[in-house]
Amino acid sequence: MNAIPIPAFLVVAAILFGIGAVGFLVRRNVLVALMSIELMLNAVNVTFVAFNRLHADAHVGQLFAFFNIAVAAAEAAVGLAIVLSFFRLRRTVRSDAGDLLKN
Amino acid sequence: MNPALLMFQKLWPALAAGTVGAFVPRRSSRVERLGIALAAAACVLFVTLLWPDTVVEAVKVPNAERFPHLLSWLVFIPLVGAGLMLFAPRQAARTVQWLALGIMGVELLATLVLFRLTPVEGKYWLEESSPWITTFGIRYHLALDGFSYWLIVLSSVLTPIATYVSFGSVKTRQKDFAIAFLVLQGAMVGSLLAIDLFLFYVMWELMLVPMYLLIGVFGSADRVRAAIKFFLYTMAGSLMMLVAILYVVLKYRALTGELSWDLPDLERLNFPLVTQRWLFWGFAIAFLIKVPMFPVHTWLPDAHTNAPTGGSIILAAVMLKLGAYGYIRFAMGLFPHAAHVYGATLAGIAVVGGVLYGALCALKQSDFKRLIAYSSVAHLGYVMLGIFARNPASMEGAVLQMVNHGVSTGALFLLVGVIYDRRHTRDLAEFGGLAKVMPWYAAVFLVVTFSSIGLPGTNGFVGEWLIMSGAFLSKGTLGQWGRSQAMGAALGVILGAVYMLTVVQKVFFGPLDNPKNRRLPDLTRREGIALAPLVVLIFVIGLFPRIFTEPMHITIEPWVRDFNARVEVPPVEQPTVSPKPASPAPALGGE
Amino acid sequence: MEHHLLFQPDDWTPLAWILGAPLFGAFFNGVFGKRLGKNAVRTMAVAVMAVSFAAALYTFLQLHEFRHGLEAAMGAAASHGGVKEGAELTEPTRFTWLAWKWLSMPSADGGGRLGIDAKFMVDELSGVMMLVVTGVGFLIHVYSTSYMAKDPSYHRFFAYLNLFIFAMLVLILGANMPLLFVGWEGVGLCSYLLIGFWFDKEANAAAGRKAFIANRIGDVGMLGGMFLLAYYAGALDWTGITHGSQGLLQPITLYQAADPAKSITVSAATLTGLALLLGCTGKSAQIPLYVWLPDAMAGPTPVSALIHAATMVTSGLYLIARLNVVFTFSPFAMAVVASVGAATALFAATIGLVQNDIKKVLAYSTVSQLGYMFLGVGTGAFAMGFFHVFTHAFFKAALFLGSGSVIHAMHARIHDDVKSQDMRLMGGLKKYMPWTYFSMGAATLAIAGMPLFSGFFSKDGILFHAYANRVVHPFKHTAEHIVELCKTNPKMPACGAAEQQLAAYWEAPRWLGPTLFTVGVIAAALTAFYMFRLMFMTFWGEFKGWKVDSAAPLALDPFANEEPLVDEPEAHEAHAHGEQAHDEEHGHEEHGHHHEDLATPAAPPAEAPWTMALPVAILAVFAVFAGFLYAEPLRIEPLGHWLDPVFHHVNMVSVHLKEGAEQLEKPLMVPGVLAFLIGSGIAYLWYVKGEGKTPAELAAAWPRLHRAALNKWYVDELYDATIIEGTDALADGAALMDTWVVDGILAKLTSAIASGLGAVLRAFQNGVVHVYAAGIAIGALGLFVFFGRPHADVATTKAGEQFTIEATPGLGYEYKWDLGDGKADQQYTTGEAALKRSITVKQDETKKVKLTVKNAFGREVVREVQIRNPKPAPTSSALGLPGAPGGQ
Repeated sequence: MNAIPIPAFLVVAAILFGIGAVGFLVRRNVLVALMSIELMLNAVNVTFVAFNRLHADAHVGQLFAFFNIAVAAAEAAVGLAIVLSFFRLRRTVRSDAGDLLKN
Repeated sequence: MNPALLMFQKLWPALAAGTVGAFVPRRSSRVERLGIALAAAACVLFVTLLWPDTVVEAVKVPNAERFPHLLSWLVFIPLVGAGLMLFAPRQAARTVQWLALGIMGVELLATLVLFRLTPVEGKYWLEESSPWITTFGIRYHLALDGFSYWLIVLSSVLTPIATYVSFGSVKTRQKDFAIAFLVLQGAMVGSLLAIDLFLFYVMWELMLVPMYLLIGVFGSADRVRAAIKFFLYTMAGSLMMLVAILYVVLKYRALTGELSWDLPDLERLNFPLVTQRWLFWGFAIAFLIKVPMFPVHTWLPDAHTNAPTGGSIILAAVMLKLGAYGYIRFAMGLFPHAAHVYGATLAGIAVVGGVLYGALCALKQSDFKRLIAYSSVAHLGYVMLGIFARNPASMEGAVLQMVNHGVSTGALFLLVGVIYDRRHTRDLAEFGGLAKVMPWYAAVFLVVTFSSIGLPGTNGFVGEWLIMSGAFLSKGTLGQWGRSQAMGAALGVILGAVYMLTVVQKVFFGPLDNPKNRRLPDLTRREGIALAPLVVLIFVIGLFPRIFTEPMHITIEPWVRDFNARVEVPPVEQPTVSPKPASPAPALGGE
Repeated sequence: MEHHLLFQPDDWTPLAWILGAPLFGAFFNGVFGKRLGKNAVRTMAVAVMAVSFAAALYTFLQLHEFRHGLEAAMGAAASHGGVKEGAELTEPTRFTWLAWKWLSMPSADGGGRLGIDAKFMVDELSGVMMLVVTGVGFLIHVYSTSYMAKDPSYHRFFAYLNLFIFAMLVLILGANMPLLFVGWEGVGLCSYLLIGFWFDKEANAAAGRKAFIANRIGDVGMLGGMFLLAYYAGALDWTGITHGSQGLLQPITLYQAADPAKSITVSAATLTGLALLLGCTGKSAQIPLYVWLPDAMAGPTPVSALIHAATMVTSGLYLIARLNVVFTFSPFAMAVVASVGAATALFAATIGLVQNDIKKVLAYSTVSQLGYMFLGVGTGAFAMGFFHVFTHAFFKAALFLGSGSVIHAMHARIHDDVKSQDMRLMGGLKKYMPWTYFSMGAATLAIAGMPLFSGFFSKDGILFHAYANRVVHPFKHTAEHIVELCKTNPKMPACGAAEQQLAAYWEAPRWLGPTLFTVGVIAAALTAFYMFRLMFMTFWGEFKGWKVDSAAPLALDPFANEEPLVDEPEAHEAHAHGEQAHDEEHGHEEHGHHHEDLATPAAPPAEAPWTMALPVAILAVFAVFAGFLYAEPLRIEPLGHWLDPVFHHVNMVSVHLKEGAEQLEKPLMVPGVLAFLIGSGIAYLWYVKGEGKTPAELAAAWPRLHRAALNKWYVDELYDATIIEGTDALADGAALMDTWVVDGILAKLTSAIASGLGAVLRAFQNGVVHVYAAGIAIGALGLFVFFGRPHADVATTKAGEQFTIEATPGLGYEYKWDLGDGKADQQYTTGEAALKRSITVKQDETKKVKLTVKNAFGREVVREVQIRNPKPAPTSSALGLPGAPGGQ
């Protein structure tokens, strides 16, 4: 069968990662930032799975993708918890309201 | 002859002085008279015992056997005393005061033992050495010779005076104050005695902390800024020195395979001139900041102005001298060629930037303490000129002038403190005609003024004379500029008279027109007692300078000879190490 | 010579009494005086002076006797040896006393020690001086007991006065330069304290400071002179200097920094002489440093008499006379001394002509007379110049003390410090104060040069020698002699050199002597004029003090619109304030006395009490007769003979009379006498006959000239504008520089840089997560770019001719070497072995190595290295040290 070539996956992953990175750097809403992080992680997942095709017997890429999904879930949970308590304190979810280090 | 009779023969001048002191003063309590009598007797005893002919008494027993741990005592009496002070009850001011003064008194007694040492020509007079941090080759090495001898005495005499007089004006946190002073004293004596570079560096930095606190906590209005300025300036210099020390030590290890921070070891290193120049500046800048020399002197006026009286006294009298001392001992000792190459230039800076510029700046100050601070810059210009001229006469003059400056400027700061306590201002324009209301104060001030401007018969003259004539007669060390520099320094003599006499005229003479000055009380007993030894010293040094120069001479003359011999050998291409001297005792100047 | 040294008494302890007594008095009065009261102070002060004087007299007599014995012995020896008139002492007779060893400094080369001891010495010169100081000092002490009787600081005054005598004696008796300098500064100190004695007046304190600083300027010269002596003569004690003085003939090159070709070479003696002269102009109030002396009259009058007329100001003369050998080694320095003296004599006299303050007149007269003394010693007439010191001490002390009595009397009448010194308010006092009048009259005749009075002999002696003396380089005669010999025998080896040297020896031009003489004569005429003007205005005519109301401005002032008498409110207030302060301190004694006088305003001025009048009279007697101690024209010269050994060497070698000058001695006295007659005659015509109209008319005719003279030719203003303002500007500059440049750059700029950097960095540490994340992103990008490129860095190590080239490892790097030996790698290699290559390069050879590196991304980079093996450089020993060859 004519498989989709690996570079295509990589391009998609790169685009996804780029969107995630730019989104994280640009957006100030913490929720959006979290989502951007998810996006980046998922982009990495895509590359893992894609590369796994090169070493089809090893499954290492697949394995790592699962790890990543677990980590992303944990991160989302912790992140959302932080966002919640942050919102309780500051009544906002804008990340630049959290520059308390400065003072 | 009858031993009692012999004793009497020896002691009769002291007894006579004591009798006069006991019976002559009127209107004094018995205790006071006893004190005066003791002081008078001690002064006379001091002079008679130290009469030049008896100084160089040929005693065969080496000093180390007679006084095995004297140097450690000197360093640790104040430091341990500071620890003891922690247990003193803060509320009992009397106890705190007496305890502090008592510790300093013990230190003074220990210093007096120094007079019993036999000076050894060209070597350390007394040494103490043992391994300390063996992993890094650091030793606990203390040594004393003619350079440090009088400076230690100076610190032991002036610290109790400064502390004593400060207890009159510093009313809060006296315990902290006393602890700071004790630590300071220990660190100063430690830096003067330490021969191991690591130990020296530790002591050198340790000095900063109590002085920083003294200025920052007990000082006047702008104290915090002044304290930070003081700290940063000196710290910046010290760090450069630390880098240079590390380089020297590592080089020593690279060449010999063993680690040593010991000056006699490190002096055996011969560096190429280029390396010497870098390392020399690393050391010299640290010391020149401390001295302070133009253009790194500006921390001094601020620090002095804002320091409490006692702090100013110690700062001027002892701490600044450590710069000059360190320069001789370390910068010149380790890097003779570089010191030789830069000597004439630095001497020029000392004359123009120190003696003349400092005096001119002093002329324009309206703040009493600032003025004296600038006069310190001028006086230390003389000291540095003497060191750079590197002639036995000028070196002796320089060391003597360090002592002189300690006595005179210490006394001046003390005297300024006296009116500051009464009026809480240092503005010269506030005063005038004080000689009418404070005759004794005016008399003492005049004496100290004349000592400060170097009137013959007082200490200032002897030091300046030795320095200037030494620089004038120096052949080769200052090149063709020696005479011009000596004469430039002589011009400073005029300026000194101008600014000091202007102060005297403004403060003491003229009509007493400020109503606030009408009722100023004359010197109190405390101030009088603190000033008396300084005034006595002014005349003792001025009239009998040989007491002071003879012991120095035993060290300085061979040192200069040795130094010149080292400079005559051209610098090496690659770093090398000279072999260890044959004798077990390390020679003073290395090879 | 041998017995001379053998019998030298080396421990003449009476010197301890001479010196110790005044010192003890000073200490005693200073510390206990206030408590013990005026009587005790008075007794102590006068008693110590008596002791000192007695010891001095005893010493002098012993010295005289001892010398007499020596002369007798030498005479006997000489006649024994068949020489008849050889009984002349060539060295001064000395008594010395070593008090203790003061200082010992290593000498120039560090080898020997230059001992500077507290050692005192009396010889012929210092013996006379010591007698003058203690004798005149004693009289002035006696005088002061009354003059200062009402002063609350009585004890302080006598403490200072005794201390002054001590310092002056140290100056005179010190056996070496530094010890003289101790006294030199010591008298300066006492002068400072005594000028500012009434310190609650700003002007007095300022005058004291001015005096001290002017003297300090001179002291720089003294210090320089001492250093030069120590360097070239190798000693600082008098005998050592004399013995080592040959060293002073060495040349010194004064570098001219701008143009080294224009460097001047002078002899060390010239430089030493000029440096010391600077010191002497300070202490002895000569141009250019004389300005302090007139101001110093702010001190109590006895101080003016003792310090600023009789003793301290003559110490410059003493020094030059003492170092006569040094000075005569340089005829140029001598000529400068003489010219300075003559110029000062004339200049000060012109100012003295118009002053109205009685003490100011005397002050300028002193400056002028000191000029005469300098003229004397500068022309080599050391003994004569010193003789003028001697006579001047008597007549000027008498004049000052007399003026003190006058002021005292006027003050009792007017109660105003300034007005009671104004001669325009005096007049007719001879009726009230006959003793003072006659004493001062005698002294005036002496100073004006009345024939047979003391001033006549000393002044005319100086004038004669100024005309007739010739000072030559000590080697000049030898050189002349050789040149003379060469004329007959031109083949002598030293001829050319001698001629060259002869040309190089400087000698004063021929016109100098007559010029100095003329200036001296003119100044003498002026002296006679202003001194008689003083006498006539003070003692003759009507007493004008009746009309003075101390509170009202003066009406009878002829030049009222020109120079208002100092009666400004603040001066008055200051005085009143001072009085008040006195009262506060000292109860009501003074107060009572004050009111008593006011209550009887018509009390006539009274003769001074005997304690004041007698000393003046005694001094006047000396002023009249002292001339016969050295009356050269009459050949009565005991003093000249006495001083001869001190100046023997100089008189033999350097100072000569011009040819044919002996015959001129009598004719040259005529101008001097004429000067006296003209000066005094005009004073009589104008001030007695004309009652002061002519001077007033003259002043009106040339108002600007008159004002300029009255204002001392504006020299003070000139100094103010130049030196003082200049120093002030320099100080301002230094202070500004310290605040703005030094502190600005070092402290402020450094801290500004640090805090600026901090501000920049702080902007990133703002706590916003996104900024940190951006940092991470940028950093990651940077790393990516860096590692995306291959880097071919190599390090070369050398071992003999074998060079090892090592490439740096990197991620996935592969290497391809081309060592230039034709065996270049074709394939990329990896691993340890691929990193290193060795190559042999012979001396003076250069080889090229090419390395190609490919990284994991397949990108390549090529690096070419040249490996050289140069010849070893010649070993340069002293890198950069002067004189050593520099490295390549």
